[in-house]
Amino acid sequence: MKGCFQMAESEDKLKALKEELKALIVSELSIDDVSPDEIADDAPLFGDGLGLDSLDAVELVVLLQRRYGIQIKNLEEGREIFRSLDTLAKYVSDATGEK
Amino acid sequence: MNAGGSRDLAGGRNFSDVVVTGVGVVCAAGGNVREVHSATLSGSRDPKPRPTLFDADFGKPVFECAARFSSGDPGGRSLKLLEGALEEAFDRAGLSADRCGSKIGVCVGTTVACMLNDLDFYAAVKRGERPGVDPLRRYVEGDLSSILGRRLGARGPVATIANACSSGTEALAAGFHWLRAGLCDIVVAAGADELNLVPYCGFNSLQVMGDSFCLPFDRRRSGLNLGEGAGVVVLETAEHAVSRGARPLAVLRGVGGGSDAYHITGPHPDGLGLESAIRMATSTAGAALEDIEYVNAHGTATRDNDLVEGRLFHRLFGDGAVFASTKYYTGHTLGAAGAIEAALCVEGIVDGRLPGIPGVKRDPDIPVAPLAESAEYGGGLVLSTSMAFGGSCSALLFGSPEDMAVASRSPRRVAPLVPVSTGTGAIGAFGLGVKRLAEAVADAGAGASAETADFSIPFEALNLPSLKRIRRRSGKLGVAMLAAANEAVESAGIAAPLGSGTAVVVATAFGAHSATFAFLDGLLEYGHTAPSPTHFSTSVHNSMAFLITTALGITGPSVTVTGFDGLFKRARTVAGSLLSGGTRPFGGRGRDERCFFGDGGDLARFPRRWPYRLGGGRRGVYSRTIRRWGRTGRSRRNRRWRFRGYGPHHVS
Repeated sequence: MKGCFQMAESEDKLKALKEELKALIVSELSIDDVSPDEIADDAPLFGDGLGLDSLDAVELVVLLQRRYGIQIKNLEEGREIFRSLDTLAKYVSDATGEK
Repeated sequence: MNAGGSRDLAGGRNFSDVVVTGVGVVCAAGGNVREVHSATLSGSRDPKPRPTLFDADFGKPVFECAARFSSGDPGGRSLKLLEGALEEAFDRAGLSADRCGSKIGVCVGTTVACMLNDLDFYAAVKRGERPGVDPLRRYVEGDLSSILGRRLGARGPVATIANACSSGTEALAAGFHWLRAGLCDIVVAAGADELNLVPYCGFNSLQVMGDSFCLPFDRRRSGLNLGEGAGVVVLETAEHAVSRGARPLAVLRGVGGGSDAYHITGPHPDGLGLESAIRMATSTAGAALEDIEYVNAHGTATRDNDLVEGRLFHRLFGDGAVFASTKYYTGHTLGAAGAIEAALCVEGIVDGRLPGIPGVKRDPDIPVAPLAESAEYGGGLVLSTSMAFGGSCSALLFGSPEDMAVASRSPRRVAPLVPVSTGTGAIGAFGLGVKRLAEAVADAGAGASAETADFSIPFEALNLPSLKRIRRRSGKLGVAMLAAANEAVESAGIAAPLGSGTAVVVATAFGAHSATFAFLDGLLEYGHTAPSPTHFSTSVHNSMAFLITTALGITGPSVTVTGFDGLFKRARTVAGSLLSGGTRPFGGRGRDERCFFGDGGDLARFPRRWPYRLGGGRRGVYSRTIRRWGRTGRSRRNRRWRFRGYGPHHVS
C-alpha cells in the first residue's frame, strides 16, 4: 500500500513538472499560437509537432540551466532529451532528483 | 581564361575593371599580410586557450592579437587594428593619407564597434547610478568609416556596413559598386572587429563555440573559435591605377549577394542565399562557374556551416571543387573576416600559392574533401564566400592582374541609369502610412508627441500570415520596419515573393538595441554562461533586413548600413550604386531590378531610466523602393519622382 502511494506522489510531481515545463516553453520561447494545455506529452517538440527549431533548442538548454541548474553540454545528447515533453520531464526529474 | 584585351567588358557596358592595388591585414596569425599568408602556407597557428583581454566565467580558445591595440578612444581596439592594416595597405598601394588628390571612398564592415555593449556602464545605469558618459561618447563618435573618412579627407561615399559576419565582404562589394557607378576613383574597403565579452558569451550560448582549436570541414570539429583583427583592401578603377602608375595586385572581377530568407541563425539547408551570391558574382564578372579554380570558404567549423558550404560547392563545382578555410589560422573575426580573407586571396594570387587546411580529416557527410596541402595558383578565378546571421550571404570573385581590362572611355562619361522611386512607406509617432506622415507634417507636429508615442503595430494588420513563427523573435523595430516596407511594396504595385531580383538596403543608427539590452540583462542576471541565445542573434543590426527578406520573399542582396552622420544619404548611395553600378547585378535580363531601402531608429526603446539623451535621431521608419528605370514600361508608369543622382555631393 505504502509503495503504491509513493508512486502516485511521484506521478503527481512529474505531472506538475510537465505543466511547469509547458508553461516555460510557451512563455520563454514566445509561442503565441499554442497554449500550454495544447501541447501533448508525447508529441515531438521539434519538426512536425510543436515546430521548434535549432535556436529554440539552444534557448531550452539555457532555460534548463537557469531554472534547474542542469547543464547540457552536448546538443546530440539534447536531441534525445528534447524529443518530447515526456522525455524532457523525465530527464529534468532524474537530473534534479540526483542532487 | 579570358585574355586581357579581348574580354567583353562586363557584359557589353563600358566599365573598367575594379583592381586591387593594396592589401593590409592584422590578426592573430600576424601583423601584416605577408606574415599571415606565410603562416597559412606553413600550417602554423597560435590560438590562446582562453581570452586574456577580458575576464569570462568560462574558457574557450580564441585568436587574440597583441594587447597593445587596446584603446579607450572612440573606435576603440577595432580602430587600432584597422589603422595597422590601413598603414600596410596604403604603403603597398603607394598612397599616402595626407596628400592624396584622388577622390576616395571609405567602406568599413564591423559588428562589435557599432554595438553599445559596455557591460559595466550598462550595469551601472541599471543600478540607477549616473556613470561617466565616456562609453556613450565613444560609441556615438566611434563610427569607423566616419573616422577614417575624415582622416583621409574622403570626397567619395563613406559608409559602415553592419551585416554581421558578412560585413567585411559586403564592404568590398559596396566599394565595387561605387567604383562601377563612377562615384570615386579609390575605395578603402575594410573590415575590423575586436574580441569582446558580449559576442564571446553570445556564441557560447548558441553552442557553436569549440572547446578545442577550430577544425573547419573536419569530422573532428567541435565548433568555431572567435578571433579579432582587421583587413584593408584598396580598390581602384583600372584606369586610375594605370594613370598613377600603381601596379594592380589582382582584379576584383565580380561581387554578389543573396539572402536565405529562411532563419535568423541557421543557414538554408541548400545554401540558397550563398548560391545566389556566387551566381551573381560570376555573372557580374562575365565568367562561368568552371572558371573558378579555388574557393576561400566561410568555413567557420560549425557543423551547419561546413555541411551547407561543402555540399553547395560539390553541387556547383563537382568532384573537382577546391576549397579551404583560413579561419583555421585566424579564428572567426566576424565583421573583419571577409576583408581579411579577401586580402589573403589577393596575396595568394600575387604569391602564386593558395592555402589548404593542414591535416584535415574528411567529413563523410560532405561529398568532396577540402584542400589539405597548399596549391599553386593557376591563373583562374578565386572565390571568397561569407554567410551571416539573418541569412545574408556574399561572394567576391578575384582574378589575375594579367586579365585586367581598361575601358576606352571613363565610366563617368557613361550616362548612369537613373533609379526612380516607385513606392514609399512610413511609420513613426504619426502612425503607419505615408498619408499619416503627410498629415502630421501639414499639421506642423501637432498630435502625437514623439517622446511618448508608441508606434508598435499589430502584426495581424500586415496580413502576412506566413510569418507566424518569425514574428515571435522580432522586436518592435523589426515589425515596424516591415510594416513600412510592406506599404512601400504595395504602393509600388508589386507583390511578394519578390525573389532574387530584389535587394534590401536598411539603414539603422542604433540597431535593434532592445534585443542587445535584453541580452545584456541576461548576462547580468544569469552570468556569462546563461544569457539568451535568441536575444544575441536578434541583436545584430541586420535582423531587420532578415525580417524584411523573409516576410517578402526577397533572395537578392541584403545590406545594412550603420553610423550617425548622414546615415540615410549613405544608405541611399549604397542602394543607388547597387542598381546602377554593375551590369545586371541581380535578376536576369528583362526582369525588374529593384532595391528597397529604408532606415529605422530605436531611440524610444532606451530604458525609461536612461539618464542621457542621445542626439536627435529620427524615430520613425522610412522606406522607399526604387526600380531600375527604363527596363519595362511599367516602371515609367509607376514613376512618382526620380533621383537626379546619388552620392554624397549630388543627392537631390
